[in-house]
Amino acid sequence: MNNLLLSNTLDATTILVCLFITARVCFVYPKVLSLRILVLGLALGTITLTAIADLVSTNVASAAAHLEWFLYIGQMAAFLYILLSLVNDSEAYLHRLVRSQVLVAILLVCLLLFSFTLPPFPGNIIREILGMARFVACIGIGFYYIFGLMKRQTRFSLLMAVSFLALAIGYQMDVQQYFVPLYTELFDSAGDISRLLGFLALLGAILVG
Amino acid sequence: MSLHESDNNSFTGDPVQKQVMIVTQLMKAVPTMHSIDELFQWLAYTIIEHFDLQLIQFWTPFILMNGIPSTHLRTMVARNPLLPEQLVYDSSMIVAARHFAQEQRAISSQVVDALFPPNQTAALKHYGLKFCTGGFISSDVLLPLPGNQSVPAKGLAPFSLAALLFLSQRAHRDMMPSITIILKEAVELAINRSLLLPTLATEASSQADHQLPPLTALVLRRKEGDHLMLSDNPFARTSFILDKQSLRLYAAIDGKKSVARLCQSTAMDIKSFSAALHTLLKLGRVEMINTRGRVIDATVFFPENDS
Repeated sequence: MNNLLLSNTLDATTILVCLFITARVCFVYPKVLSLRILVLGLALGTITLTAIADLVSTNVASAAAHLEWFLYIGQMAAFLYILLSLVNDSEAYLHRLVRSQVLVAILLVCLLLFSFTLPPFPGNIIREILGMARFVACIGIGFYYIFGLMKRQTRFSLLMAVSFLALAIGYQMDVQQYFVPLYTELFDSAGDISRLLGFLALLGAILVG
Repeated sequence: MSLHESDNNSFTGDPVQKQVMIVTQLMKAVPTMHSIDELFQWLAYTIIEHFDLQLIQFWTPFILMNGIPSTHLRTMVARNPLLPEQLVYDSSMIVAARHFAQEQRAISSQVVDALFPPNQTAALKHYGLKFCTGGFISSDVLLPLPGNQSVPAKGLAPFSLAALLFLSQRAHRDMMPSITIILKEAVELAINRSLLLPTLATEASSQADHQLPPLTALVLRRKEGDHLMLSDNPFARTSFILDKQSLRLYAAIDGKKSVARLCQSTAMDIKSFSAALHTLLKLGRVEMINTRGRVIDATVFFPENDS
């Protein structure tokens, strides 16, 4: 499987999984009234948009450089909000979090709309920093689920831990390719496969957890 | 000591509904009060109006100069302003109050003939005071003297209150338990407002923090389930609040309203409210806090609750 096909498969899977979960959040939220799933829904909605942007940038070379801002910042913000929703369960805190997430989502849509006016990333350093931020957020979520698993063993927490650790490894591989240019394609493919498995595990957690 | 003006919000309904309404009003009124007697007066006027009583008396203890505890009439409100005070404040009434205080429980409604001498009974009936009932509450706090009197050498009496209630018809069987709950709520609020004084023992052990407040005075606060999104799948049916009443209650909870106010704002009866609250507690989606912000263990009120 070549890198382009793998990248497109990852994007298509990400879009389908995240869109499905976002739609499920819309259906379930009125019955659960949990702010955490609202945060999850908004975050996965954002990731859906970033996956669409990635699909475009992978296949339309001229768009790639401009969409990277939205791609990296959007994913970083989405994972960061999921992590923040897990650290505290107070109602007031989660309300503030949802409000700020909505604001950030609006700003991200603006960022997407004005993508073509933005300059490309000035060197790899910004890409590495934002890529590491995605990794840190995912590893943080993964550890939250590992701690949860240690307290109470459920299929849901196991699959969520697997999912976010696989995503973290995927994003780490993505960053590695800039540090080890010799193995760029290897890290890129390994990162894509890891993320693909991560999103499938996330779907599994929602469906059978 | 007569009912000069009609209190607002006179309504019909069963005693439990009235209880919830009065407690709701009480919670709004207490912050503006400055003495326990103000609270007693408010309670007397409100109870007499809402429960259609003819006369209400609050008897409380005090320590005599020789150190012997006694009982005296602290508050009296009559519906009929023409009711002679000597008829309802004499030795036989003191005997009845002491009897009620000794029983230390709610006394069911009985004809006045069973409690008072025949000549007084006839006069009482003439003014529509045909039935008598009563209740008793106490708390591990001290009762300040009326007005601004200084603390006597023998100290303040521990708080207890015997309530004597007179009606023109037999009382509803739920009336006295409802009034007792109102009085207990009032005492709890009075303690929080420092209208009643803590004893040295209670101050030393901070017992007030551990006292169990009445359910209706507690504030409900929403929370994410203990394990929701961490180990419990929020998309699974077991995480849903399926019961419509529970969902309605959950939506009404704002972290500020007490159980009494929520009961009123959701227009749910006590039974439905209790069932809805129990469901939410079992799901771990609400917690109960007292006026000091401490979380109260729900199993005290819902023993079978496994949350």
